[in-house]
Amino acid sequence: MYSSLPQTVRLDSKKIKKIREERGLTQLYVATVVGVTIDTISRWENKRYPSVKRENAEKLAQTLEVDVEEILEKLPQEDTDENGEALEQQEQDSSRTAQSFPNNQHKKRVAFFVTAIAAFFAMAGMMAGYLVFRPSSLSLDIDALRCLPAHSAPGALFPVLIKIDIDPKAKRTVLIKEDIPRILKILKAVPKYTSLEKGLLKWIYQGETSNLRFVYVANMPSSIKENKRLRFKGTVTIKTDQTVSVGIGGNNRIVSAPFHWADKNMDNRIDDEEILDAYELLSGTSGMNKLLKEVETLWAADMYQWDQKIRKYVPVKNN
Amino acid sequence: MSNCIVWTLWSFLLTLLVLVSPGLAEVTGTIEQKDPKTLCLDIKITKPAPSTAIITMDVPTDVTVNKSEPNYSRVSKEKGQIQWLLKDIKPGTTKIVVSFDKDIDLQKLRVIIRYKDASGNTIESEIKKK
Repeated sequence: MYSSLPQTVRLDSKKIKKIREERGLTQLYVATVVGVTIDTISRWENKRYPSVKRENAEKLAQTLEVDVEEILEKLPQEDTDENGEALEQQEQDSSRTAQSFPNNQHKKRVAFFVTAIAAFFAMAGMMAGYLVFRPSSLSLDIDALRCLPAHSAPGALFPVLIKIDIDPKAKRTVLIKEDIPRILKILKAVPKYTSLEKGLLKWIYQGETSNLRFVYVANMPSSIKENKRLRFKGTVTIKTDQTVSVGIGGNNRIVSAPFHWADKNMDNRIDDEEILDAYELLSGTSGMNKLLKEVETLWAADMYQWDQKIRKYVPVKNN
Repeated sequence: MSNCIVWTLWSFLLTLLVLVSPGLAEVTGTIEQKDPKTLCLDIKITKPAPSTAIITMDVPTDVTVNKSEPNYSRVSKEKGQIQWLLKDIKPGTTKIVVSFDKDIDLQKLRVIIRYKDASGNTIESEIKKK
């Protein structure tokens, strides 16, 4: 009979209420006959949820003794749920359902954040797991750098720092070979070198440290001619479950010149920037106090000069 | 749901950036006038501390330092400059107390802290006056 109606229809709530009251029917009666709760009838009449299942609309029409078309809203349906079942289920529920609409949104938001947080922790966990349990056979990332002053006076001492950064952390054996000009005399090395033969300085290190520092102090021969260039060359070989060898980068030559090694711009002054650089280079390395004290003395003085006779840098008062 | 995924990814990336970025050393300070001739500097050093820092105080050329605790490292009467070289510094607070032969106006002073951060960049900041 009403098969032309869609699965879900929209009720004319005012008309339902009017017809029910004209017939002298109570909401309880209508609800009982239709098979829904009083709250549902109340909602239908207050237009809260006007979309209902076709069968319910038919039952309601029969109960009110009118043609179903009479209680349907005349406007075209827009917000009708295709399924209809879900809406109907909502209608069948108690009035709590209607009041819980804002709650549903709140629940959705909570679910959104809970999902987001859970996903975040899952990703963080995966990343942490990767960092902790990643296989040690990953390729080694080695960075070896030589910090060698650009110049030093003939007969003066100068420091050389070899910095090695290795990733990842693992027990390893590190062999450092530093090929230095044979005319240089090595006065000190921290840590102490393993061997020094024919200008080849070697250290062997075993451990897990990622950041290694090897410092040595060399003496520029006093007999060397001014502007003579001396070249350095070195390699770092690391053995874990594989063997990797890299060259030592950074500065690889020093020139004999009558300027202090810390005086980078060769203006016969150690300025604030230069003393900070010198301390950054050597602080934390034991046995370098004498070199640093010399830098500090020259910094505190206005200027300095290299005295070739006594082979020392002499502070000069600028007047 | 797609918003949820985008939000999660952004949060994750930002957190990773915060976690992997190296901590930056910071040396800050305040200067206070204890009496007309005495100044007190509080130098605050955060972790990771730089190995060395230089405190430079520009003062009028007609004043002379009577006493400094710790002793200054360098003074130039011509330039009107006093410098302290702080070595082997550790995180925490370092105090410098300096007194002059004459009254000194704190507002006319300029005190600079200079140090190298972990990346080797020179950081220069002015000490705040209390």
